Amino acid sequence: MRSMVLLGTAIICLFYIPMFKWFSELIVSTSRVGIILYWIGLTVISILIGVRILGKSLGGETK
Amino acid sequence: MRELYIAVLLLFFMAGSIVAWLSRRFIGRGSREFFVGGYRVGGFISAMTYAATTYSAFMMVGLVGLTFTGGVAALGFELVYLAATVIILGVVGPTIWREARRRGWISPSEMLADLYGSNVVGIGVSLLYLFTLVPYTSAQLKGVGEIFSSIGLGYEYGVLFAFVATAFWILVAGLWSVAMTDAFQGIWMLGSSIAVTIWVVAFLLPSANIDYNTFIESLSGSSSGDLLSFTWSPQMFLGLTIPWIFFALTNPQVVQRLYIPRDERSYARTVKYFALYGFMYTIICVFLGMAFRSYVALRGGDAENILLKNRDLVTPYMLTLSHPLLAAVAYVGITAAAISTANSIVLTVSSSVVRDLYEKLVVKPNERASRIAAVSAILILLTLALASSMMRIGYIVELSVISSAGLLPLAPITIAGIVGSGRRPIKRGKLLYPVISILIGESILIYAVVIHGVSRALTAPLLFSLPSPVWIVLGSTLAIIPLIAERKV
Repeated sequence: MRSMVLLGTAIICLFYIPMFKWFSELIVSTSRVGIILYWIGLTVISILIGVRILGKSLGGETK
Repeated sequence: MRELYIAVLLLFFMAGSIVAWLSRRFIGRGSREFFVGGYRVGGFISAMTYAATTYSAFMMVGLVGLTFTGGVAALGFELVYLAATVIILGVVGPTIWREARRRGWISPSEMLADLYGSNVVGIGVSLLYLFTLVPYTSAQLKGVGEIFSSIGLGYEYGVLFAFVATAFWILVAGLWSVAMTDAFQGIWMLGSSIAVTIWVVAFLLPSANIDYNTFIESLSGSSSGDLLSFTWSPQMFLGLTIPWIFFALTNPQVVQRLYIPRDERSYARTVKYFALYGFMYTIICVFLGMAFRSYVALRGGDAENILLKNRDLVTPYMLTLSHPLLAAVAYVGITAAAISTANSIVLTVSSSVVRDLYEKLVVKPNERASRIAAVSAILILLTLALASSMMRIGYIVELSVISSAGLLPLAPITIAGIVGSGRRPIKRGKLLYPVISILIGESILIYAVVIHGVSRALTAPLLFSLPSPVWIVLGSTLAIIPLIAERKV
């Protein structure tokens, strides 16, 4: 549970990486829609982690 | 167009009122039923009221405009909110849901008062809600007034319509009528935005010969720079996102929604359906902003410059190009978003007023008197919002923008209170810590407003190039560290 919470927090921090110019330029040079895909990917992972944590918090009843 | 909008709006109001009226069969006696539906709302309705409460007219107007002017950064701004919210709802949400029914919480200020064993905390937080959320409600009424005004129906009639719909849909059956009409409005909001997206993809973009490649090229080479890259300043991104990632813990209208699911399965459904709704709605609004920027840029003319100067006009201008029926349905969708946010805020703030101000100050409160106090609080709050909207007080909008930052100091004390809820009770001498935490946060915000003005208070660098929300969270957290340390011993 604790590791999942830490992982979720780390994912939220990753949302802020495109603030750094070198990263956003790198990702856009790889794909024009790279930042869009990056944030959408992080969101999907966050939702999956959130739902997993929720399942554990509620005692596995949601599985 | 005007006649069509009136017809669709009347249809919307009648359907919403029927839904509100039918919801009366669910309500029982007492303030617990009126404010939190007796903790027995189903998963789908809980999810839809959570979504409709969270997503205001800002999405189809503000976010579309923000994307139009600033590009893809707006997507990160809105998605980091959603991601953080789903994690918060997974980590601390179940404890809030469980403790609410165990301890009988009705208002979020009552939750904080109970967690810290202090009425002073409850009263202080209630007053903070009043100060920050009445302007936010005014802004919602004002938004409906602006829609009426843009169609030539008169600003005042729009504000009055929003007032009547909000008051009626709250008073019919409290949380039950609010939640049921929120579900109806949430479906309308999402449905109308999907309809606009289909029109943009099927008709608007092809009419300007825009395919995928020209779409990407036009955004990359826009007059505002590469809109597919990160164009905001780090301070703006931090300043706007930090109040939002804690929104689920700081804004009482959504905290109270965590009390209402009837069982664990309903709570889990609430989170899952909300995540799905939020993801779809965000992608749609950001896509509309990008698509219309591409369309306007490739069509040429003055529209791009005009819309860049006033981004709130992007959606209304886009809808003038669509079929009047689609525009009317979309405008009603925006109206629904404003009303569904306003009615939830008013219901929640009035619950705080009744539970933490009226019932704490009156020696022997009874159920009937509390019910009268609740109705009075709802009407007074709405009348205050109506009056300030009618007077078109300029700073109402600015105050509503910083209201999320005004509530930000509540995040550390809420997390600390919930996480420590199963541990040893707090000693009486330490009860001032949460109050100090709030005061430090508010002081930093006031300082930022004085230094930079209301419009730049959240996004301008305050210290070490970091904007005020970072310092508000840090300052408020530092103030309660002794309390956290003591509870761990």
